Amino acid sequence: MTGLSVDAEVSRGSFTLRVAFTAPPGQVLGVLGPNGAGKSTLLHALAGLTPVGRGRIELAGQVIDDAGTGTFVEAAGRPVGFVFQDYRLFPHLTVAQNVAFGPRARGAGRHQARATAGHWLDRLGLAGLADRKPGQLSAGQAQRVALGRALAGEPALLLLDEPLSALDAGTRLDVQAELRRHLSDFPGPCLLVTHDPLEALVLADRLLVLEDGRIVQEGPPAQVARQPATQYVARLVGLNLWPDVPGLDVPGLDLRGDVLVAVRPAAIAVSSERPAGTDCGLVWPAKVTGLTLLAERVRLSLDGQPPALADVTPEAVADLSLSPGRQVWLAVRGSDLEIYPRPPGHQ
Amino acid sequence: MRGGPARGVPAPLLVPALTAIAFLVLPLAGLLIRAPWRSLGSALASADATQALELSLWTATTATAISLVIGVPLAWLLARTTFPGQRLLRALVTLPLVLPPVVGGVALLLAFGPTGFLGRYLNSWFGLTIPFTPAAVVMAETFVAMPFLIITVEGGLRSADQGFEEAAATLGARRMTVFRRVTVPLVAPSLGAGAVLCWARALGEFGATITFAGSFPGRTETMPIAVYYALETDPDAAIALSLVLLLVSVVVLVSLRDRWLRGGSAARGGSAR
Repeated sequence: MTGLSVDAEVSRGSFTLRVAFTAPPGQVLGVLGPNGAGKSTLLHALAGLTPVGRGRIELAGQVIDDAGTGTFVEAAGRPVGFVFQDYRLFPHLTVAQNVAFGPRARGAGRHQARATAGHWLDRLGLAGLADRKPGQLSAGQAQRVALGRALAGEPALLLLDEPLSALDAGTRLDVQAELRRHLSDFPGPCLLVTHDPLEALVLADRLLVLEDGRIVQEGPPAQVARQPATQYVARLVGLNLWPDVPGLDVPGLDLRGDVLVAVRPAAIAVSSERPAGTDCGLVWPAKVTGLTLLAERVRLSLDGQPPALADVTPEAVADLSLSPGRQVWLAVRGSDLEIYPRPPGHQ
Repeated sequence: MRGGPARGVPAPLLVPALTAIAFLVLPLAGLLIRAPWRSLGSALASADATQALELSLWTATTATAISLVIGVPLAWLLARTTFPGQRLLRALVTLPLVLPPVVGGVALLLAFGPTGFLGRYLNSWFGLTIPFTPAAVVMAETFVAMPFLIITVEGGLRSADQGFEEAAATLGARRMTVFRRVTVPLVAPSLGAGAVLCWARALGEFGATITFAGSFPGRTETMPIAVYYALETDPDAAIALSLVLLLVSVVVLVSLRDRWLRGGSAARGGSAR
């Protein structure tokens, strides 16, 4: 197949990453996960900086790593572009020389490499910075140079390791919009590692969630955001996720079997008395453990069966005299419960 | 403002410290006071002094060049690879730093002398006799001075960010290209400092040189050896030559301090991080 196909196990010290997935050409695959989940290990294995311990990696119809047959294409021989988190622009070379490095190392003549670099600098709007040293660039400019340097080698696979994490909030939005444009122009598969859910939602066509070296969820961003498979993903997208709700009985919904329940914090009603049973899907008592002021609302942390996050207005906090330790009743309508089978791959 | 005790330095520390300063500085001051400033030019212009100066300069420079050609790859091997016996090898490489130079000279003589286990074959196969030639001077200096270059460059390689080398590999650069276009430029400050240290050590070499190369004026009598002999026959010339060596040392010290200051900022890899 064209594109990227991975079914491999990579060990780094006592940590083992075990993944199997494919990415077709033109797709931006967002790899989301907490620190230490194996995101960087995955990129290093794809780039040939770490060999796989078991399994194989196939790129554009070519086997580049196969522990079974001993095939291993070294990093320098792989058509892979890598944008590192800290960019790693060569400090002793100018911007143009940095971008020309790839074509030059892959055998292009001096003039040809310079022309290729010029083309990419134009395309990324960096022509005016060609003679600067990396030390004289802003973080946003350095990010674009790093992208240009990776693309100038015309790779078949593009890897981006937290490409926006070194930027401040202001530049991040600009660079993000620009990055999205360049990624959509890239013909091959692209892996974008991030731990920022918004970045993943905006930039990725499909998401792969890694936790503890395993894939715990895979799917379109909208689906991952609506039906998170793990507490980590649920926290990222700001949902309550209950794997198992005792006493939950919603007329017309089958809750037997291995299902997950997700609820928006705003859909949970908080009251001081037990609400009269109308069409409430779930009513339970809980104790307030914390309050955080978000923009125009207050997020309550609540301890109960199940524990929950609930959003209320500041007026409600005053009306109900909410403070840590306060006993309250929570209610959520059946129609606000997102109930779905537990995604496969997660135990 | 940093904390710490106020100005008062206790006498039990101050007195020994002042003694140390006097001990280190007074002899050098003596050299300057006793220097025959008027006849300095003529003392240095004497044939012997000029010959010794020339010989010292070119042998030390050659020894440094050889050390760069073979020592830098060894430093890379020690810093960037792992192999069995590496710790032992590192210890052996460092040994000439602490070995009395005269022992190094004896060792070289036993290896490359006419009856040495290597010199014997050099002699019978190629008709080469190394001891007591300018080549022997260069070898003795290289033996003693190269470790300074190796450990300085190895330290530079270890502290250099290997992320740049990884990045170069992902851009299609093979190991030799990475070494040439990324590694060497990144450790350039260490290379410079190591080369200067190596050159200064080679210039001052005495024990190994006189043992392995002897002291034939114009052929193997380097500056330090000339100073030693001139002290008996022509003290003014000895002092003049010593002043030259002192001047060279001061210049080396100043240049190194400058390099190390700049090296510190360059080795951290610019500000693109």
